[in-house]
Amino acid sequence: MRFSWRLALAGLGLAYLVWRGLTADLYGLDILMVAVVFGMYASAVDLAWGYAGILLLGSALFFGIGAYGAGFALDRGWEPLLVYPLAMACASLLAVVIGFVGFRRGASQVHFGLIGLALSLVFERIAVSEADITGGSNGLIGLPRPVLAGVVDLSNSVDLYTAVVVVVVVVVVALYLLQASAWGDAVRAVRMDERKAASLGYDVLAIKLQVIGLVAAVIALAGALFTSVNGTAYPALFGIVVNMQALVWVALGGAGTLLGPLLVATALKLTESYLSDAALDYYQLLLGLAFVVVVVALPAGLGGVPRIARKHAALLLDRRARKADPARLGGRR
Amino acid sequence: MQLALNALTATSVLALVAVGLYIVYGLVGVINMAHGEMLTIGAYTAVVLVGANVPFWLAIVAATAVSALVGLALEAGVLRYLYGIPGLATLLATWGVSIALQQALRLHFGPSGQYIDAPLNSTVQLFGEAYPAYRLVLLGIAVCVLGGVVYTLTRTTVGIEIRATMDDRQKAELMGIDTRRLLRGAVVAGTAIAGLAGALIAPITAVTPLMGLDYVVQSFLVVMVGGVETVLAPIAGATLVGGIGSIATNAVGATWAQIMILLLVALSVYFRPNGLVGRPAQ
Amino acid sequence: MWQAAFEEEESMRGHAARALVGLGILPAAMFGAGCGGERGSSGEQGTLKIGVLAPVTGFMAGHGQGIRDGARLAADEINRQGGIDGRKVELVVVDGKSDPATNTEKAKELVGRDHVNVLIGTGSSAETLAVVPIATQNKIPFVYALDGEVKTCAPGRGDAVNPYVFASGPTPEMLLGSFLPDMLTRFGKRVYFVGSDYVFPRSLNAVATAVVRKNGGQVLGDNYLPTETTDYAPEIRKVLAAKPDVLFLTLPGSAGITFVKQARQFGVFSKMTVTGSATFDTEAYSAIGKLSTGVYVVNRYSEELGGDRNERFVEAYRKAYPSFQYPVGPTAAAGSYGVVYALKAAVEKAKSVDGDAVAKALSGLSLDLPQGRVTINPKNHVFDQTVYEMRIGGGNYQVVKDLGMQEHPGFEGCSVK
Repeated sequence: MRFSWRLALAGLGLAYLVWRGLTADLYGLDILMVAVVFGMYASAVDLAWGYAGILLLGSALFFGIGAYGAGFALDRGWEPLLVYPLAMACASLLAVVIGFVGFRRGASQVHFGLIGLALSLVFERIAVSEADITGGSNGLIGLPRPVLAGVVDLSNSVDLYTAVVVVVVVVVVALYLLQASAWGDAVRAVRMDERKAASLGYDVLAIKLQVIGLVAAVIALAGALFTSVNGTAYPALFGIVVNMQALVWVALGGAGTLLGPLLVATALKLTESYLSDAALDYYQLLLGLAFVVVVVALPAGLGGVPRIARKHAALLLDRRARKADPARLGGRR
Repeated sequence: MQLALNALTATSVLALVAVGLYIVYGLVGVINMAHGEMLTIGAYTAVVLVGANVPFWLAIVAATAVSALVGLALEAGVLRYLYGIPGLATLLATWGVSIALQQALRLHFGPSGQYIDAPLNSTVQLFGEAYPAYRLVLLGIAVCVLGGVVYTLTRTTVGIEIRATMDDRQKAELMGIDTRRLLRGAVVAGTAIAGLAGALIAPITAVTPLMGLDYVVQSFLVVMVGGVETVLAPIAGATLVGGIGSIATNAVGATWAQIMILLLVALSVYFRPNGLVGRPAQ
Repeated sequence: MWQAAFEEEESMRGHAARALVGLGILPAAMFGAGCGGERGSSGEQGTLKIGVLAPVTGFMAGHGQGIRDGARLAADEINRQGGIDGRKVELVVVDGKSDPATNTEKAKELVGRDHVNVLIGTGSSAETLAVVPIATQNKIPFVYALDGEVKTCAPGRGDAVNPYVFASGPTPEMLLGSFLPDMLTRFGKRVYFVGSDYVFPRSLNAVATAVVRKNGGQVLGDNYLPTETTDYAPEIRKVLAAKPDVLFLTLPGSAGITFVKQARQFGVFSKMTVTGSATFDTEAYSAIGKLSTGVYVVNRYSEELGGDRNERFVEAYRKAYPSFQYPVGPTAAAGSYGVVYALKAAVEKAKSVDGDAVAKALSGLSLDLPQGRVTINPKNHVFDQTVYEMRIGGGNYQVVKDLGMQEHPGFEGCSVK
């Protein structure tokens, strides 16, 4: 079997998660949970952009809905097993409505992104303004950890960690399997050329709506998990920084790889949490410059590194082979 | 009447900031997220120079020049590599430049607001009410510059070349237009105007490393609403986002005015995806 | 252009850069991830370990620097004089980024990884509220630095004290109870309120409008604008049209700077008395101090208060931070410098750095700080303190009137739920 970077990385990552789960202190677990949740978020945005070519400029809209949904549930003691899926369904529905509006007009799909972005900013404003319901700028804070069905108590970080990691892994694997399925082929066909896809019998609009519905639900789930771990939901979760961050992860990790954005998001979140604050000043500066370098030098993101490495390795092997076997000289050029 | 004047000032400042963004987006489809920092750099240049007793109006000219230089560096060092690369990468790179510039300003000047005195602090009687003289000057300069931009784009050879390139870069190149040089010139002009705007608003706004963010988000909406099909687009967009906002604030309060604008943006994108003054959707 | 997908990377330009980036980012993350958790040496018996949550970036950055610098100065002074009964003071300063989630994370880090004995700092109410549950659950005393609505009530019940949370700053009730009536008598009864649209200005102005109405004043306007507003002209026009005697601004941070710059252009300052809360703080002085001559403020501290204790503090602060050229503010002076000294007194009293013991010792403690005499009220854990009416002028905050010792009434307005 050919060596697979993807599998190797995923295995390493998983081993790391298990190892940390067994050894890390509670604080380390909290940090790691938030990081993998953002990783899942990044994978979902990548499914939309990297596979379906749908630019989610306002993905924080769905993240915020999930976060506030979980926030209300935890604050008022509603059943998480009911409310979390409900929040995901709401996000999904909203995404489909925006998609119906944004895709139907035959305009470029930047507009879908823009409507999402504008709405995410509207939600941020409303969350600040309607303080009676949303807690205003303070948001919902000091929320307890979830208790499922009144029985499964996840207030212990180790239990919550296990639950979060299982959910994230299951979701990411599901996303991976989906993109590898026939449906995934349809999605890719739509991205390549909508007209050709339609002539092949694909219902382009339906496929796009399915993608964003699914993606919105996953992002909302990420939001709900974030709030479950962190115990807070606040307006900036709808904000421009969260929106941009998600896109940065995808671009940096390599669109269309699922794993790249996941790893990059997780790694960046962890680095931010562990770097000393004096270093953080310069880290931000360097991070900004790193974005530029990545784009200029590595247009496919870090996810493109294996491909480049493979290309170089192949060239190298080729050269060696040629040296060893003079008969092949010139055979390639 | 003052209501209209306020709306006009808000519109013209926003249009000034947005016009640079519009040119770059229209020409090469790159949304320059670092555009807000060009405004910030203009404002800081003015603060530093006025602090060193350089006359305000001279400082404004210098701020324009400094931003133009930064714009040149940005084009030569970053944007140049992004033309023709799909959208997300350009967003990432320019966002990176933006973060780096913000952080550099913060490390050097600190996070607090900077002081700069306005060259004019008097008011003039206008329609029976006192109105700040400086705002009128600001409005005057903004209208002149915008007029200049529209004139350049519609009446000069360079402008026609730019518009041709916006329409179809390949065809423009076939026609013998040196689009590389044109793009560089357009980027530099756009950032210079943003720097000018930054210096002009420095006396009436908080000068902090993050000041560009509010403007770049608004300008982004302006460009999206306006579209890129005619030179009047950024002005139309700014009227919706800035001018109507100013008037709506009076009627429904600032928070709901903002919500209203964002919904209007969403609606206008839906009904007129090619921009308020572009072709209607098919 | 936007909708086009990433294409296979073809260009062969910049090998070195590629390798650098590829190698650079991942190890940084690995390094970060690898060294968490393990470095949990528990606080030695011989030190008092203080976790300082200073929002040195984000919109509270000005306050954050004051919090950090004030605490550092106090810790250095104490250590130079032999510590607290031989115990060294060790600060662990982290950046809360003016953001509640970061504060939650950082507070957990300070408690779980650094094993601090106490927490101090935080900027906005949201940040403070994010830290309260962590301090409470881990039984770590938390003395928050800034003024604002009271947050010392026990979670879940608004009528009992949280044994671990202490408010070093005055509450709106304490600040405005005597100040506003004085403004009304001196300048007139018609007041107009402008604030930023979030919880702190709204809750502060709710207290303020109540005080105004109770004292026979008239509230002409009570408006709130989003913090990212760039043009205040429409609101300024409304203020001018209403012709109030007193304009009360609750616009913290850059919002206040922008408003003040624009209002001055419209001649607002010559037409009415301007005052406010959190708008004319020392943190905004660099930007608008020179524009705000004649503005009235109420606060717990000014560099010009006089007194031996204060003069010693100001001299030391100026010496420690020679590049700081603006008035030293209450955030640094009382908010964290004073709090570190209060902790010193508490540790001396408790003869221990244990969380419960320090918390118990803090309650009821009384000591002299640069701002004057302070007593930590055992009933509600708010620092009872004197507030002063001040006027901006001569490059500083000139004390106009001593408004006397203030005590917060019970847990009125407590925002912990």
